[in-house]
Amino acid sequence: MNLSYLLCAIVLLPGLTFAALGLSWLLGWQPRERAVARLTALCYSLAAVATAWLWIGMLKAGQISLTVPLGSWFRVEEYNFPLMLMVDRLSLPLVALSVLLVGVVGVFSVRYLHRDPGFHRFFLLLNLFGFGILLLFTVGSFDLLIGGWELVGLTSVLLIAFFQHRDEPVKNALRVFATYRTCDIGLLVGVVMMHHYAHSTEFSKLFTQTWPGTGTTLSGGSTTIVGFLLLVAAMGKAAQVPFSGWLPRAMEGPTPSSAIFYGALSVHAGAYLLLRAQPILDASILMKEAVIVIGLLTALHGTFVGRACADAKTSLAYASMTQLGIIFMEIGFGLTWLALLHICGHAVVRTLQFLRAPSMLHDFHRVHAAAGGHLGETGAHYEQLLPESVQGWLYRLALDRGHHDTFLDRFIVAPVIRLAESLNRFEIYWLEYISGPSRTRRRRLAAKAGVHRFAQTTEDVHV
Amino acid sequence: MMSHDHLDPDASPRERLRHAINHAAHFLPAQGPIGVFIHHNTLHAFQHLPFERAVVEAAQLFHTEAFLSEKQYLDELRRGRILPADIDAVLDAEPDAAIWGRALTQGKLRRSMLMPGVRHFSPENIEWQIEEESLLDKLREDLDPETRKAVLGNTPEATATRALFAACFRRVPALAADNAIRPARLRDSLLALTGTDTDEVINTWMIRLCAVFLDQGLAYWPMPWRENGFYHAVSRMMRQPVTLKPELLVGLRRELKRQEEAGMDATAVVLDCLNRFNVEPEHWESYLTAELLALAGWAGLMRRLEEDPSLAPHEHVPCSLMDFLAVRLTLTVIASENLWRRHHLSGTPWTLWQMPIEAAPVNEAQQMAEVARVFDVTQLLGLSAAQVNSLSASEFERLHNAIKNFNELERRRVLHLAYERRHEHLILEPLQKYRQEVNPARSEIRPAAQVMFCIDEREESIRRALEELDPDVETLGAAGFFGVAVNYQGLDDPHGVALCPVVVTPQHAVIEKPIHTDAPLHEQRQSLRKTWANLAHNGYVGSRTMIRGSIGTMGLGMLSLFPLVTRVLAPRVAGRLRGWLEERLLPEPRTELTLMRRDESGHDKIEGMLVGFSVREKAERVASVLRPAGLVENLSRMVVILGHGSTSLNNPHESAHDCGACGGRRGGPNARLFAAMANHPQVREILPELGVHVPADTWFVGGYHDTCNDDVIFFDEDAIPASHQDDFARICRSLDRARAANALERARRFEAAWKATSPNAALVHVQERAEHLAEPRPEYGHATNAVAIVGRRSLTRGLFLDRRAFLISYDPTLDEKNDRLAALLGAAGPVCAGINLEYYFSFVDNERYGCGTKLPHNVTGLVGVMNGHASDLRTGLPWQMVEVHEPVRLLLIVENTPERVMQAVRQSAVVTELVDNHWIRVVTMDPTDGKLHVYRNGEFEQFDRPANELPTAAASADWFLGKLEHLPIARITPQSANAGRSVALGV
Repeated sequence: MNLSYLLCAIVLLPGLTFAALGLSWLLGWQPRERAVARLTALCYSLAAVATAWLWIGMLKAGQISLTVPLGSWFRVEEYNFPLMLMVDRLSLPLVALSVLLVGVVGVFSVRYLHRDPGFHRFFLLLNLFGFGILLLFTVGSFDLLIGGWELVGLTSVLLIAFFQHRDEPVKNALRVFATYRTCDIGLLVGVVMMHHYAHSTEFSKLFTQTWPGTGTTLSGGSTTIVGFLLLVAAMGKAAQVPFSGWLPRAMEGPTPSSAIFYGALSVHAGAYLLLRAQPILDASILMKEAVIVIGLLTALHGTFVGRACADAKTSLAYASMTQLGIIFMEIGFGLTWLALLHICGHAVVRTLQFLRAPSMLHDFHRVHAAAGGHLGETGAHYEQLLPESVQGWLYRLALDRGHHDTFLDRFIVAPVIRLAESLNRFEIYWLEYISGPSRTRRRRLAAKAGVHRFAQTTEDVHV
Repeated sequence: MMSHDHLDPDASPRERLRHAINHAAHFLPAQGPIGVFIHHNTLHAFQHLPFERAVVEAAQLFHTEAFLSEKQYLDELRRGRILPADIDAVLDAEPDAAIWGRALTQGKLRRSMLMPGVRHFSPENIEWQIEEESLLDKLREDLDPETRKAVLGNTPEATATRALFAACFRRVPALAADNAIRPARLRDSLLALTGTDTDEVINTWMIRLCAVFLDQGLAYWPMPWRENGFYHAVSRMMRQPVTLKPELLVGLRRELKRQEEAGMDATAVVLDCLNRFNVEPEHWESYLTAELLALAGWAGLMRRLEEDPSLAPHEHVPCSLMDFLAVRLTLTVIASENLWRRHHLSGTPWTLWQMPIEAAPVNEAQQMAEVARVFDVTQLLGLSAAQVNSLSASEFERLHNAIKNFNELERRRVLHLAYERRHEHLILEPLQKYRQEVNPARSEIRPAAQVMFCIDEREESIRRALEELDPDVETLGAAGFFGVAVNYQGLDDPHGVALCPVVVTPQHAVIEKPIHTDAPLHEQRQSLRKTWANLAHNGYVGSRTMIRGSIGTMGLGMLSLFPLVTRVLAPRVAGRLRGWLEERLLPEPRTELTLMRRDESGHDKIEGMLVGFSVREKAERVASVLRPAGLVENLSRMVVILGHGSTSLNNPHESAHDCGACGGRRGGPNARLFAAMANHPQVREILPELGVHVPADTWFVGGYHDTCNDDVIFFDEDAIPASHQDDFARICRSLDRARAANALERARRFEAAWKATSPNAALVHVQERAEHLAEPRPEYGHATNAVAIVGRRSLTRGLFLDRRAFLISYDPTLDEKNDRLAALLGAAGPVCAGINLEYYFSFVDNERYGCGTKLPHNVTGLVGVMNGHASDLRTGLPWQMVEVHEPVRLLLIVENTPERVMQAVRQSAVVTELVDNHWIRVVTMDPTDGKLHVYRNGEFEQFDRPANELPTAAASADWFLGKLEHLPIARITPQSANAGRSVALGV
C-alpha cells in the first residue's frame, strides 16, 4: 500500500470524525454516547494501525522522510501555494505519540464525561484537536502549520471554557485566548517574512537537509528576524516566561482535557515549532542564546513557583512548565534528539499524572502510611539555607506566581482598558458634538456606569 | 445546632466580637478535611426552625434553592409521581380563606394555579411570548371546554383573549419598585456604585493564602511562619518590601505595618476594621456573616480545624476564624480605599454600606409579566374580560393579592409537600398491607446462620439477596461500629483513628499486631513498604522538580506508557495485576488485636486511652448490640458480623461512601473486634447476666463488605473451630452468591452497565468501576435513601425496598423500659437524618449546597476540592453522587406505640429537634396490631389505607432487571418461583 495514503488517512481520520459528529449535531441529531465512544475508539485505533504501518513501511524502505504533495491551493504566475504533508524523523514519533495519547484520553473521557451535558461538545472538540495537532505535526510548510496551530489554540480555549455557565472558566479562557493571539502574531508575521526573504515557507525549500540536519536558505539578519518571530509564537504555546501566566488558568476544563493539552500535546507544540526551525536557530548565535535564556528562566520560574502551589492541577501545570523550559534549553544547545526524547517521555508522564490528579489525596495518604507516618521533609534544601526574611520575600514572590499576572494586569491590561474607556468617552462627546447637546446626557452616562441605583450619591460621581 | 448562650450586657468589645463570630460561624459549612467525609445536615444552623421555614430563610441568606424547581415538580405530576389527590390533600390541610364570597376561595385558586398550573412569565421572556408565541391571541390550550366557553362566550378567540388581557392590564395596578436593599457589607455598596467587585481580588488572595496555610503536604514548600497562625503569617509575608501588588491592594504593606507597630492582634484588627466601617456592635454578627459567606468553604474549614485540630490529617496548623477575618477585612479596607480613589470619589467609602441601595425602577417588561400572570390565572378561573372589568376594586385587589401571595416559592413548597405525601403513601400502604399478612414474632426455629449488617440502606439489597438465596439465614441491622467505639491502629496505619460515630469520643485503643510467628514477615513487609513509599514519594516529588524531573521524564518517561495504557484500557486487569504483585511482594502477616486488658485500672494508658477492653467492658459492648436487636436467644451456630466501607480510585469523595457510623471510615475492624469479644469465653459467662443468652455452640465471625466492588472478606478464619467449618463454608457460599446478586441490583442504576445482565457480569462490572481511573461514580452511595425502619425484620423480610431504607433491628417486645429504643434513636436518628438531609440539599441546589460536577474538581492541600485553579473550597456532594436521588425527608418508621416513641425521642435533644421541626417524618407502627400513626404538626394521625394488593415477583431480579427508575415496594415470593426466570440464582 502506498505510504502516502496512510499518512493522509492518519490526519484525516480525526478530521472526518469531527466532521461526522459536527454535521450530525448541526442537523439536530445527537448520536448516543455509545455511538460517539465507538466512533472515537475506531478512529484512533485505525489511526494507530496506520501509524505503525507507516513507520514500519518507512523503516523497511529506509526512507527518512516522506512528502505527500496534494496539489496547490492557488498559483499566481511564478508563485504558488503548495499543499503538502510531510513526515520525517521529527514528526513521526510525535504523530505516533499524538494518536496514542488522544486515543487513550478519548477512552478515558468516555467514562469520565458519561452523562455530562457537554459530552458531545467535548468529543467534538477533542476530535478537532486531534485533527489540529496531527495537521500541525504533518504539514510540509509553515503556511499550513498555522492551520494546525490555530485549531489547537482554538480547541484549547473552548475546552478551558467548557463549563460555560460559570464565570471563572470563561474569564480564564479569554485570558488564554488573548495570550495565544498575541503570540500567534509571531507565527503569522514570521511566515510573511519567510515569503519575503525566501519566497517560500516549505520546509524542503527553507532547509537544505532533512531533520535534524542544519542549513537554511535564509541568510544573515533575515534568519534572526524570522527566528525571533517564531520564537515568540513558540513561547506562547509552550507557556515560556514571560507568557507563562496563562498555564495555571487553563486548569478550568475537565481533567482529561487538562491532561491532553497542558500535560501532553498542546504545550509541546511550541517545542516542535522550534525543533522544526532548528536550522534557523542554528544559523544565529543570538537566537540560540535567547532560546537558552528563556528556557532557563522558565525552568527556574516554573520550579520556583510550583513549590508554593498547594493544589494538584496548578502544581502539575508548573511542573510541566519547568520541563518545557528544560526542553527549550536543550533545543538551544542543539541537543535535538534529546529534546525529542524529552518531549515524548514528559508527555506520557504528565498525562498519567494529570489523569490521576484526583487520586492525589489517596496516594499521599497511602505513601504516608507506608512510610510509617514520616515522609522526608520537602522544602528543606535550598529554602532553609537562606535567611528567614529572604525566604519570606521569595515565598511571597512564588505565591504571586512571580508577579506575572499582577504585572500584566497593572501595566498592560489596565492601561489598555483605560485607553479604551477614554476613546469611548471621546466618542460620546464627539457624537454629542455633531448631534447637538442632550439634556439626558448626565443620566445616560450615569446609567452606563450602573450608578442610577445610588440615588444619594449620583451627584458626587464624576463619570 | 444553634447555641443559645447569652452575652453579658457589659462584656468587653473583644468578648462581644468573639460572641458575634461564634454566631456567624454557625452558617458556615461544617465539612472537615475531605479525607474523612461525615454526612450532616447542610442547614445545621437552621435546625431550630421548622423545616419549611428553615429552607426558605436559608435560601435567602445563602442565595440558594429551597426546593426543586416548579417545572421538576410539574413533570413529576405529569409522570404520576405526584397525584392530584396529593395536592388536594396538602391544600386542604392549609388554612383557607374566601377571596370573594363562596365563588372563589384561596384553596380553589391555588389548586388551579398548580393544576394545570400558572405559566411562567418573566420580564426577560414576556416580549417573546407576546410577539412570537401569540400569547394575546390564544387561550391556554389545556383549559377544559367549559372554562374555555366561560372565558370566550360567543366572541372569537383572538378578540376575547385580547380583551381579557386588556382588562387585566387595566386592572393590575402599577407595580411598586422593590424596597431598597440594605447592603450586607461594604463590598455590596461599592459594587453597586462602581461596578467593580472588590471580592475578585480579595478572594483570589484569600484562596491562595488559605490553600498554602492549610496545606497538608501537597506543596513542596510549606508556608513560612504558619505555626504563628494565619494572621501573623500572612501579615509578615505581605509586609515584605519591594513586591508588586495588584492595583487594588497597593498600600497593603503600609496598613499591615501600621497594625504591627500598633501591636494589634487579630482581634484588634477586626475590631479596628469594624470600627472603620462604622458597624455597630448589634450588626457585627450579620456583617461578619456576610463577609465569611463570601468564601464559605475556606472559612468553614478554618473553623472546623479551629474547633477540632485533630481533624487535620497530617499537619496541625493553628487555625482561627478571627485570623481569617483579620486578613480578609484588612484586604477589604485597602481594596475599598483604592477603588474609591480610582473613581475619584470624595470623602471615604466607610459609611457607604449603611446607605440602602435603591432598587431599579419597575420597567415595562416587569409590569407586563405581572399582568400576564393575572391574565393566565383569569383564564384558569374561567373569567371573561367583562367579568374582570366588573369586579369591584376590593374584589380585584383580593384576587391579585392572593395570586401574588401564592408565588413561585409558595407553589414549590406545596408541590414539595405533595411530592413527599405521595412518597409516604407509596411506602406506608404496602407496608401496612404486608404487616397485616405476616406474623411479626421471631421464628422459634434456629436459623442456619445469622448475619448482622450495618443499618446502611445500601445493605438492604444484599440482606434481601442473602435471605432470598438462602431462606434459612436471618439478617439483622445495627449501626456499623457495632457498639465498639475504639481508637484503632491497623497494621499498616501510622497512627490510630477513631472508629465510631463522630459524636462519640473513644475511650479505648486497640492495635493490630502481627502474630508472634509472623513477626519476621511483618518486619520485612514494613521495610519493603518503606522503600516503596520513599521511591513513590521521591518519584512524584522529583517529577515536579527541575533536575530530577528532567532526568526522570527523559529516561524513564516512556515507562509510564504501560500503566497509562493498561489502567485506562483494561482497568480491571491492571487492578488485578497490581493486587497480585502486592500479594507476592508484600505478603500480609496474620495478625492479632491487643484486645484484652486484664487489670481494671488500666495503667497501660496511651494518650489518655485504655489499651484493650476488660472482660466486663467487652460483655457490655456485645450486649449493647445484641439486646436492642432482639438477638438475646435463639442464636444460630454461626453469627457473621459484617462491617462495610468502600474503595474507589481517583475519587476525592471516596470517604463519603464509607461507614457513617464509623465516622466516615471503614468498619471492618469493628466487626472483627466485636466477633473476637463475643467469642471470648469469659464474656460468654457474663452475657446471661446482661440478658443475652448465647448458646455455647455459637461462633461469631467478623467480616467486611465493600459496597463499591462488592467484595466480602472475613477475619480470623483460622480461629474458627473445626466443628464450625461446615457452617462457615455454607454461609460463605451464600454470601458469595448474595454479593453477586447485589452487584446485579446495583448495576441496574448504572447506564454504563447495560451489558451486565447476569450476577457474574455485574460483579465484574462493579469491580471494574472500583478500579477505573475515569469513573466519577464508582457507586451511587446513599443516593435515593428515603426511609428508615426501626423494627423487627419480619415487617420487611421478603419486601423489595429498592436499597432505599435504613433497616435497624429492634424488637419492641423485649424493650419494657423503652431505653433500648431511646438508645437506637439517639444514635441512628441523627446519622440517618444527616445523610438524608445532605443528599436533599446537595440535590435541590447542587451548585451551591453541593459541590457541582466532579469533572473540574482539583484536589487542594489534601483538604478539599476546588473548581479549576482557584475557587472557594467546594463542600457538599457532587452531582455524580446525587443525580439519581429523590429529595424527600427521611420517613422514620418505628415499631412501637406513639407514646413510647415520643418518650424515646424526648431522651435526645437533637432527635427531639429533628422530629418536632419535621426535619424527619415520623411514623409509628403498633407492635401488637400494626396500626400506623403519622406525626404531623405535633400530633399523631392515624394512617389506615393498606394497599389492596402488593405487586409480587418471584425474585428481586425479576422486579428490577432492565429498569433504571425508582421502583415501588414489591413482595418477593420465592415459593411461587417458576424455573423460568431465576436470574439471581444463576451464580
